[in-house]
Amino acid sequence: MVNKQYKIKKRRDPEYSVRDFFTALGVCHNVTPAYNNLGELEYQASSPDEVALVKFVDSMGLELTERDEESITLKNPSGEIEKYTVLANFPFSSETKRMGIIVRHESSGKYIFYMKGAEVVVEEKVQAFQRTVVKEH
Amino acid sequence: MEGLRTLVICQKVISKEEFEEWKKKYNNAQASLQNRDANVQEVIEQLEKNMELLGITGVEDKLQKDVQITIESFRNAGIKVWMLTGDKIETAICIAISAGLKSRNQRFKFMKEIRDKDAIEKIINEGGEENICLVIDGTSLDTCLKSEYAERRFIDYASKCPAVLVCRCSPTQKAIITKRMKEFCSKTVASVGDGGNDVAMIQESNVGIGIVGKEGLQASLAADFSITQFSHLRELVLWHGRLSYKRTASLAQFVIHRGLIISVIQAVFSIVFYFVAIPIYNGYLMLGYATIYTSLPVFTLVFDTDTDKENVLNFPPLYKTLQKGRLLTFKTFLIWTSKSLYQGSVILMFSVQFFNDSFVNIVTITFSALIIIELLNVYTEINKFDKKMFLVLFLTGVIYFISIILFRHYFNTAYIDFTFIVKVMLIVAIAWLPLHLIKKIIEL
Repeated sequence: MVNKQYKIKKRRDPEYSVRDFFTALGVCHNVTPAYNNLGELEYQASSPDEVALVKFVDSMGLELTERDEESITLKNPSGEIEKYTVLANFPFSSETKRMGIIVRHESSGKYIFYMKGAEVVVEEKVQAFQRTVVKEH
Repeated sequence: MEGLRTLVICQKVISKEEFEEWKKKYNNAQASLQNRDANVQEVIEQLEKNMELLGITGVEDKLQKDVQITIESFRNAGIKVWMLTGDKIETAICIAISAGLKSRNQRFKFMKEIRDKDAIEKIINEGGEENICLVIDGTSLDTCLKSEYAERRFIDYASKCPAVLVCRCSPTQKAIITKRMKEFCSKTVASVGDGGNDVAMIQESNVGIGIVGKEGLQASLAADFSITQFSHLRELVLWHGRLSYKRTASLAQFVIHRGLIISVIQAVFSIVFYFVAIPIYNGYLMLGYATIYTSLPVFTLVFDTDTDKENVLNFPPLYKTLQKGRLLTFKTFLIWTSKSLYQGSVILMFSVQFFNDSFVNIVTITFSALIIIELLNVYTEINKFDKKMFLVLFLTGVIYFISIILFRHYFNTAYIDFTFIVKVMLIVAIAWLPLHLIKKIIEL
């Protein structure tokens, strides 16, 4: 599986939105990193798509190092450890076709709600001016 | 975004106060005693407003190795391939084309988001189903499955299409389609799947095949057969499936024949001797007949192959002939019954004729002839005679010879001489040779 496209149209500073996009991908999932018998890092999840996305983020330098019920730890490209506390988690289901997670970024204290889902559903949730972007795809 | 599985990612930064307030509502909703799921969902939706779009991801689901060739061989083998997927129409169409489900001269026909029964009926009435690849989505499928009449119409129509593609299909729908196919078409349905979504369908089908995949083991645990690659299906169905049918048919009928021939001998024996109620074969002979004397040769039938694996895989039409089910029918059963009748009566009648002067030895004569004939019958049935089979037939012959010497109580060894052997051989020739020759001539 290969990630092919990541297109961003934003009014904010594009650098930030790219960073936010990758952080979102690194945080908003149900993947658990685990070490196998050989001591290699492996990602485990119910869906291979999720693993593929986390691996993609990993290849971009943002590594998922730890994950449990309460927290997610990421290592960013400059080697800093970013810790997120999970405050609420809405797992994926085939009815809602989306998943969501509310986290607190420990170093800045920001509360962020991330959501990932099928375009039909998420389309209605984004700000009105961005809807056309989703529709184009 | 052709053929990719897309996901939209968005975020929303919220203040601490906002969160605390929402959290209270969320906790309340989770503690509610009635409609908890709906309440929780509603609270979540309150938060999911004015999200900031971050980006869209596309994940490509690559086909496994040799999928095209596998589907192509199935088509040539006269097996219809339907694809049931949860993906959306665009993705499914891409996969169908790259997997070779739709051949070049077919065109797509869509049943998309149809909620009206009459609209479906209209499409069905357009006809031309011999050359289309039908694409239907979950919504339209629901419409089709509303009443039994509509179901019947739809399955009838779809089963005539060379390829069918069902998109946005729920696990329940997959199972329903499988079930209806079995009911309305009276066809054998094999379901192949690799995910948890396919379990219902696999269990509903006649033959369930699970692929051990990245999505876990659920499908292969629920299945009758478990394989690791989609392409292994080709060998499983065309080679093993074909052989399995042929061998089961030949073994089953041979076992019937084996039991019948000894009964015929007994019956004719009783008739000849004024309907006496005496068993012709006693004790160990009866026991040994179905065990040491014939079981090994009969079971070598399951090692028989009529052609090479390579040929079968290269010429899928070889599989097609099996679908008519001609190897195990009332007709073949009658043929085997008459074979048993013929051979059984020949053995006993000619024994009586040839050994007129020695009724006491009728057991030795008929039993020897019977065993030899059965071995030769196995030889007739086998398509490809190899060393193993020769060894088994030879070994059984030797076992019989040794037992003649050992069981003096049953066999009168003193009586065995050259004329005895010649006469037994003659009986064998009369009973077996004509049938053998007929079979070989027909095969030519």
